Amino acid sequence: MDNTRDIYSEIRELIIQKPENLINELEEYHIYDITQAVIELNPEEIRDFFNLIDSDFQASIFEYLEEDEAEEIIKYLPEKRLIQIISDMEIDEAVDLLKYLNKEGLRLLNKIPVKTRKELIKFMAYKEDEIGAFMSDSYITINSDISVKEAMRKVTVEAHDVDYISILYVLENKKLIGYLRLKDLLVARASEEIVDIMETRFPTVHPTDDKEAVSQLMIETSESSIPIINEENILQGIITHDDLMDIIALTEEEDYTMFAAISDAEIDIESSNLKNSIRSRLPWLTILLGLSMVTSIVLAFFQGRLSSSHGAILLAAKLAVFLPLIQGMAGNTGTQSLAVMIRYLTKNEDVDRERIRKHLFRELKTGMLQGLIIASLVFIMINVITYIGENQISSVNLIYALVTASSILIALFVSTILGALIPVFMTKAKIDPAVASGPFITTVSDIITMTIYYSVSLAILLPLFQ
Amino acid sequence: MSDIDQLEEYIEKIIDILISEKDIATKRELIDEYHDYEIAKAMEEMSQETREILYKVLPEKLLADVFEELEPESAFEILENTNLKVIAKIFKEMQVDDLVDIVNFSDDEEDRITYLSLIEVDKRLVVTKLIEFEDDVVGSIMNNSYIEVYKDDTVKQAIKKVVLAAPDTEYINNIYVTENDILIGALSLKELLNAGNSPTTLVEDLMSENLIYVRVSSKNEDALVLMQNYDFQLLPVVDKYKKLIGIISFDDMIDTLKEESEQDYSSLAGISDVAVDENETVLETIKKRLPWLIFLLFISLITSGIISSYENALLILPTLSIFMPLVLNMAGNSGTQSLGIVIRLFAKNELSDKKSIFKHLLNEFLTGVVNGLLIAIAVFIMVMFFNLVRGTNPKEGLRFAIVIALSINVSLIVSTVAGTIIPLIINSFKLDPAVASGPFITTINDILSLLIYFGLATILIISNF
Repeated sequence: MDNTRDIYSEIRELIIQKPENLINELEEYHIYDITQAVIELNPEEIRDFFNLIDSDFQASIFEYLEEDEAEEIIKYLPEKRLIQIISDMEIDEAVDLLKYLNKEGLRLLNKIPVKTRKELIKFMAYKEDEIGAFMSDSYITINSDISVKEAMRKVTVEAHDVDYISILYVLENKKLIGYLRLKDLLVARASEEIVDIMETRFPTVHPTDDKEAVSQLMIETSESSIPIINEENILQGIITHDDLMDIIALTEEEDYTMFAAISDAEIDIESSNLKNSIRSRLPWLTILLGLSMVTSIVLAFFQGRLSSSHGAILLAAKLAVFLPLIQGMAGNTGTQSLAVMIRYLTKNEDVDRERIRKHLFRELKTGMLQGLIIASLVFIMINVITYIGENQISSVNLIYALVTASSILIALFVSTILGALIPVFMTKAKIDPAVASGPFITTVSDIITMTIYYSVSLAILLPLFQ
Repeated sequence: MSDIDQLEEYIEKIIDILISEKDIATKRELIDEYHDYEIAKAMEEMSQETREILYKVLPEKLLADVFEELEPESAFEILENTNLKVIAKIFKEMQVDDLVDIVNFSDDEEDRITYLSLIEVDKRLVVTKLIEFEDDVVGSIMNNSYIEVYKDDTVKQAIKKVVLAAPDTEYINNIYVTENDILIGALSLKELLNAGNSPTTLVEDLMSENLIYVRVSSKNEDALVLMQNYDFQLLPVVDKYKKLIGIISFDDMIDTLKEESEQDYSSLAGISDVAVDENETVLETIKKRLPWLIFLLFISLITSGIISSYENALLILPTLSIFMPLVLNMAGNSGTQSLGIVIRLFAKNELSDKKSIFKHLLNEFLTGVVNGLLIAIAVFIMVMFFNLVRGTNPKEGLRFAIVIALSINVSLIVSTVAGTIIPLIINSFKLDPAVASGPFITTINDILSLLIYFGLATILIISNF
């Protein structure tokens, strides 16, 4: 919206002036906007403001704050209040904040009342890619034996404090037996039984299920929420639409960063600092360095063969001239076909063999054709350059151009296929294909390209240069 | 058949019937006698008020037939003054080709999107394909399943409306308040239920007026940001007069969410579009990739130029070429990493002010320095080991190791910064930032690190020979 700026300053003014009916006035605004206004306040104003509002309101504000913003504001609040706020927050948000705060978070956690603390600790135990780490605990449950009227009353009473009311979860002896859409409850007649109007066939998941699988399920079933149950069918929490959006955004970002060979779940300017940058990049660079070393070893081997005579040394120098070009071009096509294949595999969960084969075949033809075109261009260019330099094209030079061009053709062809094949193999080996990064494929194709280039040259050109 | 004179006569009669005092059923029966074409012609002639009577008299199916008889030009003129809900109902009954004509008629982009959005979802997909419409605007993905109440409705009336609409409405959590079709507020079902004890309260007093909405021509991406920030499941969609015409829900947004990273992938991989169409032909695939490759080929030629100018150095010290791919590769890798970050930051719009650009550049520079130093130490050890295996003269070997380690160190700093600064420069020239692709940055870094490598080697080793 174009007018958000004004809204923020409007709210800020309101907070600073503290009119009698501040709370009522603020109800007119969305909490996100209030949050944005609050982070602009000075410490004194923040403290005053938090003194005026109730703990639910405080908790809601914290739910909308980014972790680093929350860390800033925490400094201005007394510890007792802070503990209250964290206890009142949505459990997944509270856990995220505590984790972000590290040692300070641990210290705060120990001060939180036992019951809530246990919940939090249970939640913290879920791994980052388990759906349990994303679930929310703000929903309405009803017992199966109550009447429609009682259910409606329960909704009316609880609606105010609960975030998600579209679906009510029906329990029997604490076990989840069905769910009831609020809209079905609204139109139900008073005489109907809950068990008759509820739905019993609906997707459920377990807290340790993979987050991507759950988001896929949610998209396929078009449900706005999915309940999470344990082995005893006891409801643990739910995943709602906003969790889904978070998961998708996070998954996409994870795949993307892996492709760029960075291990960083989220990229944003606020949290970027030297320590994080290095931690997320150096491990990849080290792995790639190890892999690159292979290029040197292979080259050393070929150089050994190319040092026997003056002519051979001359050839070695001539070969080096086009080495980066060939490697670069092969790396480029490899990166292209890799990116396409990874997207293809990560976007479509179940692709059958037939379709993959079809796709691979297309890559094969693409690599061949592109190789031909690029190789012809290189052939022409080398000859033009030689002609400009030497005013003639000797047969040795012509063969040299031909060898270089055909090496490019083979290299481009091979690395296009390689880029497409590597993710397929990884999927087969049950490794997330997204791990294969652009730099990874570039390095692998460097090694292969070099081997091709030097082998062909040694076989054909070396005798001519002896 | 009717000749021209008769047509005039019929038109008059139709208008007379419509403005008469008869009840709707009778009027319908009488109008039904006439041919669609005659009614269409009459429609062009009649006043707006009479037209509104006609909308009430004829069922939508017939109205659609009448509209199909109209020239797109006059159909468009009539629609401009017609209530959006009526249009939606008529559109529902119309054929795709006639819809295309009507939508296409307007020159105004926003009008086009508005009309388009009034077409029901399934049909809209067909229409958008036919008219090559931009599909990244809210209007092409919104739906019309929402609950609307008027500002002077009481709580009781509003609840009744919700109950009536609930079975056919997917999301009932948000209720939108309008006044003469114009969106003026919203309230949640929670709030409405909470107010159930005071059934005579007016909606107006309950609703919140600071509401977040999107225009029908807003970009999907912008809508997505709003939804994410505010944790909304729905957003109302309005036309240029702020009339409520539909909603978008989170599930409409999932594709947008995925497409966002699609673009980032494409730019990092140096392809115009990374998405796979299963029926794509090889030629289409090549069209997406080859232009980039040829462009890169010409830039790569510079690397060959540089090496040939150092050919003498290679003749004196052939082992130099052994570590060339390693230096180049490592520089390329760290450049790609920086680029990956910058592309994402652009997409998130986090590099909009000088301060954050400067902060980011400084961070990249320092990262380059530290990574460069650590990798250089590792390389130094590796090369020394390498020398040992090959049995190189220790003094020469040490010098060699220093050159390579130093080159890696400098190249990593340069390429990390280049991976950030080149996209920034390209962006500031308002060129497509996708030009600064992974392969492009890698190629540029190849050139830079070759210069560093051979430059250092010449200064530190060759000049001593």
